[in-house]
Amino acid sequence: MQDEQFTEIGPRTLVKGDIESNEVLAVFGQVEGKILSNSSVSIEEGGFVTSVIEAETIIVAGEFQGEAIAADQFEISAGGLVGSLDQDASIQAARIIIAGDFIGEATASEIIEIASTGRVLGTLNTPRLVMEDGALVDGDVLMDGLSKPEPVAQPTRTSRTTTQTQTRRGFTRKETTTKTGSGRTAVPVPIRKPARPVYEPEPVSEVIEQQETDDTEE
Amino acid sequence: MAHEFAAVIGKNITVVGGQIEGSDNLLIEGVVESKINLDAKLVVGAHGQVSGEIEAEQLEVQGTLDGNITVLKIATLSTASQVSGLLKSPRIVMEDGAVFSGRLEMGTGLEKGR
Amino acid sequence: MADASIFGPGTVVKGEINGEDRVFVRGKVVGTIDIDSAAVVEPSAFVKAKVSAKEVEISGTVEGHITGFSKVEILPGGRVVGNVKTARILISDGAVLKGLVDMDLGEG
Repeated sequence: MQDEQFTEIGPRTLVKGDIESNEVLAVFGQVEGKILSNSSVSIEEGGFVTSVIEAETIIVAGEFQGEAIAADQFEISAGGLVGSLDQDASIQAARIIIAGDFIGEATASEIIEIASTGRVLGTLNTPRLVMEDGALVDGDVLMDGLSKPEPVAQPTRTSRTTTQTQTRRGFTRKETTTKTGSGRTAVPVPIRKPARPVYEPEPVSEVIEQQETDDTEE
Repeated sequence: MAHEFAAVIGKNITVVGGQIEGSDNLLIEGVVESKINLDAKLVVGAHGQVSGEIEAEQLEVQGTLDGNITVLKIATLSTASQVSGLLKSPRIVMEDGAVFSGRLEMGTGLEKGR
Repeated sequence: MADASIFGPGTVVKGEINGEDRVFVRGKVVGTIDIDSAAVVEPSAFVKAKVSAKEVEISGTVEGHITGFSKVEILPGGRVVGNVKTARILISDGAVLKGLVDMDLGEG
């Protein structure tokens, strides 16, 4: 049945290896390996995943260590932890929402929002950043790829233009150019929106037909 | 809005060098490159361009601010603001549209573990 | 449902599945399944793995040796290519088994 398609890894289950999926996946237990999905992946409270997740959306209410790419949104819920003092995590997404703890480097192509319960130790790269009262950050913040501007002695006018181009691979690249009145033009490094993972697990029936029935020997 | 502030450095005033100290709220709409030490609220207005060593009890930025900035209570970066350098404050509110480049130190405590 | 792991039809696991939760497989697993509870291989599943569990119920396809400590059931539609070690076995009409069946789990 179509609406019965989902995967749940129970609280007392450990998967060591790689998981590829095109349905909603919730981890209550542990996964050591890669999770590749073109749907959503959630790490529930008590759940733990290391080391790579690529998905459309990712929500961490438990713990994640490693690298993650979300084509759309990456969220750390209150109580969630991404990264550790021993190992910085690396996350990329179009939008990143931090309401829990994050240690590492986060890069967003659209926006990073840090909620009042969010805490960040590390580096944030993003064109837009919103911080609620209560949010705590220790680290570097880079927006628009601008280097630290020199102090100016005269009033200047600042204008920004944003152009969107369709790259050959079909995803949109935004380039924002900022001009300041003193004539400097900052050309920022475009922050690439992570490509939508294209994954289709092998249909089970195709695999069965390929299998040869060998005589199995003990 | 100017009447809330004991002191206003207007749009067409430039202060370069020296020190600004005080315990009254200060609104800056001009250009200031200076050391500022304020036991009160500092507002960098929409036209304001401030740089230097800044210490204030409270900070609100609507214009441009660059430097080594220490805030005692709360800093608010409004939607058109551009702030760069080192910003230390226990509380920061950053609105969508504000741009910050540099380092934030707010005392997460995460380097000591959760 | 009490704690269980469900591997849906759109999911492929390459590696080991270990633990104490009951495991329901509806997709593909290549590797090993080693659990201290029941393992259910549903009709849509394809398991190419060594399966070891307290109870094993198979309605899908399993290629690999199976150990079901208390019992193994191969239901209609179930296909097993591999040896089966268990204390009790049920092979339904319509099930297919190609392998050795060893029901002597005696420790001594």
